[in-house]
Amino acid sequence: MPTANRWTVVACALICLGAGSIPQSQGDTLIVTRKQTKLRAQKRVFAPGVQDLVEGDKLEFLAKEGAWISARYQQTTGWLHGSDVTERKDVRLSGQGVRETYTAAETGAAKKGFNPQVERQYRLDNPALNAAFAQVDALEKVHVDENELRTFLQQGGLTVEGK
Amino acid sequence: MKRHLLWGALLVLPIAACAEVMNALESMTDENTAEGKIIRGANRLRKSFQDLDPSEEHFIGRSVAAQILAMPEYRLADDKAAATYLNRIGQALVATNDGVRRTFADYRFALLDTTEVNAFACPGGLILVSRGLLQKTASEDEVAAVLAHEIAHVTHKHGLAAIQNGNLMEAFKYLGAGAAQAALSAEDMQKLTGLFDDSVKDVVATLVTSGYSRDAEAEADGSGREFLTNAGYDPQALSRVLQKMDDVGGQGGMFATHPAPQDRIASLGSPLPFDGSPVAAETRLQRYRQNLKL
Repeated sequence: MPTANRWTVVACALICLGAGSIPQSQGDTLIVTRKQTKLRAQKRVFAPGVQDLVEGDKLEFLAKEGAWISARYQQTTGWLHGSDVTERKDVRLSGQGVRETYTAAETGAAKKGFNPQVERQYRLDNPALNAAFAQVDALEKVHVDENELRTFLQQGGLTVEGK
Repeated sequence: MKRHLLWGALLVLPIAACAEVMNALESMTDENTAEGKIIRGANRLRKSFQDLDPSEEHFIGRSVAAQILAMPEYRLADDKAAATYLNRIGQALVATNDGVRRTFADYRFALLDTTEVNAFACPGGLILVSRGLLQKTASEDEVAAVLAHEIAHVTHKHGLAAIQNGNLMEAFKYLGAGAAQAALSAEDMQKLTGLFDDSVKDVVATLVTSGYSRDAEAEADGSGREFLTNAGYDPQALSRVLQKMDDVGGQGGMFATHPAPQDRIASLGSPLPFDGSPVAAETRLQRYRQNLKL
């Protein structure tokens, strides 16, 4: 490689080093990585939900306070937990229930992950696990309603909002 | 030449964060040049279990749970009241702790019908706890202590960290590779499924047989106690469960995969203060007795 191009590579690496440590800026795009979540009116778990979100939804970063992020989805702003989203554009999504429109290249990259297609093949290769997978499916349907949870916390003398 | 190689090597290690640029650099450089080799080497080094995305963690975790539930000794208990109760306690811990990492499809808790003292925190948040372990508890706070410890394992990705680097290095050749391509070939899909299988086996082997490192267990105990405290439970509940395990002793299950209970109690350090309401403690005790008939 010619010397000038070599320095270009090194310079890119240095830029990358710097870029890796820059905190998120207003207007940066975040991608939801949870199957489903909500934007909430305040940065607390039981705050009213203002927008339902699904995996793959793209948000605009506004601010960060502790573990919570303020973001905008289309015209709605609200708060969600930081671990609900990523700033990485190359994130691999499951593809289940994704409603955002992605380019063919983005979809192609997203497909190449440990995703439902891989699990389907894994289950075909391991038919003895079918009954166990049915149990896993049933366990994943168990849901604790927010009101039920809040009552459980209050009656037990426990903390009602997060720390 | 050697100086450039050394300089390149010194630079690339800290570049771990920047996935897009690293992939772009890889496509810009020839794999047979010094720069190309350094960039490719660094890109492979950059990939670790931390680079598995939340939905991938979820699918690995589902298969880990299925492998465990398929073992004859680990059947699910047919106890709806206990299952509901465990999920309420578990969700209480998640909701009251900003430090708990939210997972793709959230945390779920299930009771295993075995007297073996054991619990399995599958990647993604499916947590299986044995009747034998819950028999070592005497209160809701102590059940919460057990669940908090398992939630901490998931939060810190200890299960995913069990996947051997070799399997991950191979997997990342296919995961997200060649974004311009529309789909994997049948042969590549077979390879990826094989690597998925290997990854699941690594996690199961750690959960069921070898256990986590002492550092991982200490981290889970420390974070678990923090989660317990923030939720409003008695922080000493974890030490009490560990003391009971030590008093009774045993073999197999957690006794084989975890450090000795006394060592874990010592690692937790001094007791933390607790000024919970006695009335609320009594309410929690009553619902513990109503819902867990072990």
